[in-house]
Amino acid sequence: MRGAPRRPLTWVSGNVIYARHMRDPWAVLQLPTTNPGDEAAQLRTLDALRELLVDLAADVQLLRTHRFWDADAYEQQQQVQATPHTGARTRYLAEQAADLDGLPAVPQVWLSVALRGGRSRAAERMGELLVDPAAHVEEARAALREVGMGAWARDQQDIDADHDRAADVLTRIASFLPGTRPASVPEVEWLVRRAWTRGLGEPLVDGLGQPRALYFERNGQSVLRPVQVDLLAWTDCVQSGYRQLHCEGELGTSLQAGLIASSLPGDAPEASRVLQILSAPQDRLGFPIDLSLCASYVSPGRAGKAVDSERARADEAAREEHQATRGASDQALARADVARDAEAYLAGGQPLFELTFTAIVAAPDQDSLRLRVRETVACLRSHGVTLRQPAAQQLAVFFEQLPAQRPWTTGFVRRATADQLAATAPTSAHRLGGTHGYAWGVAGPAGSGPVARWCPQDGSRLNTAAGVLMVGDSGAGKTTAAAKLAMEAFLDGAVIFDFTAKSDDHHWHTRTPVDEHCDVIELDADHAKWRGLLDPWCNAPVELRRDSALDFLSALLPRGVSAEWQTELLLAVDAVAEREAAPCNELVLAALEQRARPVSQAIAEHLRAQSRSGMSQLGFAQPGRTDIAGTLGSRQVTHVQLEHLPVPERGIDRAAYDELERQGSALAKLVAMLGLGILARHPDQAKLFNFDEVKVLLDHQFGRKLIDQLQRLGRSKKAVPVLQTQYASDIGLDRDSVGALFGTVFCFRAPSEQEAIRSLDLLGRAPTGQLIRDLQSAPSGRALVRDHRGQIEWLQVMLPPTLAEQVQTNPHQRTRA
Amino acid sequence: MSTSTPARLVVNVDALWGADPRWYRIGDVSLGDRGVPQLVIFYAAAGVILGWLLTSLPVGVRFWPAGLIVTLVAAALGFVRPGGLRVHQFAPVAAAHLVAPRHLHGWHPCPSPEQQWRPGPLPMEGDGSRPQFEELAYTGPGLIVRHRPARHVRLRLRPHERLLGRRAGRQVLTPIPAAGCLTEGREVLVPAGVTVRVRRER
Repeated sequence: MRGAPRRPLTWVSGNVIYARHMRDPWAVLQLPTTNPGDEAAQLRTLDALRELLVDLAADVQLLRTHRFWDADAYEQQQQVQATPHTGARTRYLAEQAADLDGLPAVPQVWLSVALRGGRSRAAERMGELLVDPAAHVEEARAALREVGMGAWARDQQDIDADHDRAADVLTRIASFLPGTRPASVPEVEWLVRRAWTRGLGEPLVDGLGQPRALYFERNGQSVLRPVQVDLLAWTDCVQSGYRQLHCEGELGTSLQAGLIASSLPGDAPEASRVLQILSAPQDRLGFPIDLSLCASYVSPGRAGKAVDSERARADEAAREEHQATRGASDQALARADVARDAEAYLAGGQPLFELTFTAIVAAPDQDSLRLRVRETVACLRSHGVTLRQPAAQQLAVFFEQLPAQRPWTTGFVRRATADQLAATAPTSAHRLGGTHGYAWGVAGPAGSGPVARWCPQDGSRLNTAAGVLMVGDSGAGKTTAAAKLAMEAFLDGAVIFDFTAKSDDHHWHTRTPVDEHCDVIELDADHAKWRGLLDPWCNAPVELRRDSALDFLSALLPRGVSAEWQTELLLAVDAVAEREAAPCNELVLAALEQRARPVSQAIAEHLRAQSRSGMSQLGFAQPGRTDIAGTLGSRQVTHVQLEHLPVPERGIDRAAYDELERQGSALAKLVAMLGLGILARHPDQAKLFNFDEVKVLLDHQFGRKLIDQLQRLGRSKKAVPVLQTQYASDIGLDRDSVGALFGTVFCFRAPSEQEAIRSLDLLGRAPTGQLIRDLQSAPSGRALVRDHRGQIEWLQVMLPPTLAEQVQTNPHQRTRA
Repeated sequence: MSTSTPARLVVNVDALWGADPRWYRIGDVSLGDRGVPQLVIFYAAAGVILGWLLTSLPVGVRFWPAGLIVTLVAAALGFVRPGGLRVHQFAPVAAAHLVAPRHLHGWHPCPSPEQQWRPGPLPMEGDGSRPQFEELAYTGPGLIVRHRPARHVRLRLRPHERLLGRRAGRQVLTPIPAAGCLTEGREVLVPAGVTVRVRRER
């Protein structure tokens, strides 16, 4: 332990922390985090950090802190939006919050930068003195003033100058890492107070306990002396043990064990591999740990001198061993090589950093702590970092986990270049979604990452595509995820159109309170009541009516009809579109019959037969009865079931569809049109369009036009089209088209390697062997997701227990429940 | 913003400092193919000095192998790494830990929170809102300052020593157990461990 100052923090003023004394100011900033899967972004961050560290020429500290997910704040935030289902939503949120309470939130990365320069050689200091003598004279005067005032008081103008330096540091860092922001005083308070509640929960930080100071006048200048008791009020009791700490905080006793790295990872052929060392191990741990990297700047002059000295020793050792009978050892030769590399690197005027890398593990009891320490050490060892639990230095490790600290520990200082420090800096975090919307589960590959919140309205909010696409094998979890989405939209008061061709799997609407606000329409061949319900002339938007009618009627014609048949049909459709004020498909038949040509008569006869029976009768409205669909949509939820819809097999081209499949495809589009019409009646409300057979929509240009229409509705009218399909290869679109239509893509378990590759293509992620294997073996409810912000991350979808039981699609588990 | 090509090779320069410096020869005397850590030689030299002191000083050990044993032990310590540190690094850390306070509150030493808190001497004074003391029981050490209207204080063990005679608002100070006597006057000094119960006489 270093002797004299045992006080890690003295005062806080804005984002400037005075650490060991009032002449040790630091600026504290929050850094943006990158997604671990985004290698390009990580390399950009590495470059930026490396140049930043060289540019700053100051001592720095990086803290990576975990945070418990705030279930109470989540409940309160979600309750703000007005809804007719307040009671049901409150119950839902309470159940969900209880289920997710105790899980971690997204970890945060904090950068502290010393506002006083790092250590340099006498010759370098002399050079600086000659360049800027005035600044050094002023510094010397300030030091002399302190002799009179004592180390605990500063001139007000010095404090202002520190804030100016902090603002300057922020500007420089933001130019390298956009998104960097200064820490607020409540955040600094949280960083300090959470040290006593690690492993237990979050401290109560209200932002009211800002540290104050006394101002008084001395020789005509205002002098400031911090009120130390204010800062001490943030702290609690620490019992310093030989190998662990007992922290008595507001939430009880937190047992903590500090760990320190006694070796850093070896050389890495690629920086990206180094980048994963400090983020990937944590993803594998089932509990959060805090990391700290305290680095002291060593100027290029001092660094060169130190390396020269070590190189001489390494050379001497290699020479001596070489002359011996056994020859030079591998270690001696390797050390001489490293000396050459270091010398070449530092010849470019690069600095060195003397750093300590510490981790702190917390648990509520001894057994858990022991287990967690063992797991952490083993996990980081596999990534080339040797961690020790330092004896008699636990308090020093504890101090190093506070913001704005230099190394406190003795004997574990490691040397690193700016490259190495930037590459080991833990700036990645699994992140999905944003700060709005319902909680959707936990992000990260191990399923133990932070709670992710995602809002389907983000497309409208962020001006990106509003659509949501869910792809996955049968039983992979897309139906339950869509049910969760629909239930939450219902609780928020959104108008919902829900279509399924598998009613056995759709149960979200069957219980109170949804069933009281739901129109259930069961369409089948024997149900003449709904005859004409799907007539596109009645439901489709004006600009799509003609195409829609033509698509439907063409699908009813025999396969391989001549061009003459198609021309006749086209002419009849055009005639109806031009002449009739209230067109319908029955009028198209009448138009065909009126043309008095044998071909027209044949077409009319064929279609007339289709319109009298079977499911195709749903598409033929009678003149004067074109408002059947107008009776729907008065309730919040419209649920349409179309059992036994003939859906084409996977991989079959549209041209190869049989007649039933063509008919099924056309009917599905008409159902989508019906939904579009119903949702369009509620321009000011949030809307959800849930459709579980997307393949039949995307197999034809008209279907894509339809989705595009939905997409436009989504952007401007707060509608969210949610489309599902079993096979990614059914989406016959390229990556750009998918991105333009679907802001969020959920890829659940893929049934085959080809489907996994296609799923990754939809996401815009390069197909690596590991990703393909993970996608093929993903458990139910686990998906690789690209959200509206373009973040790609694994997500384990978690439903509240009651809803999970209700929407369970597995018949065995459903029976058991 | 950075525009340069990112480095694709990260060198761990820490390995340069990882090895112990060694000596391979002293003069013409070889210290072996791999040499001897300088630290061991320094420790051995310190052991020689310490051994010489032990055997040479007037109060030293008069056993001649003691110096040799101390030297060997000191040299052996050069190979020991307690907690991953060299002995000369670990020793001050361990010593500092031994003498440092175990409990800190706000970075300041404090007693263990598990210990029972007892107040020091505690002056008690009425605020004048009532003509007399409220009833109370107090265990010393401490100081009870009687309020002016209180006139009658009676000690149960010495009932003949009534201090003042006015009946209204009389108070009785009762030491429990009977140890020591209470001082007279407006201030009553309560010795350590003595409980004083103040009650009003009806």
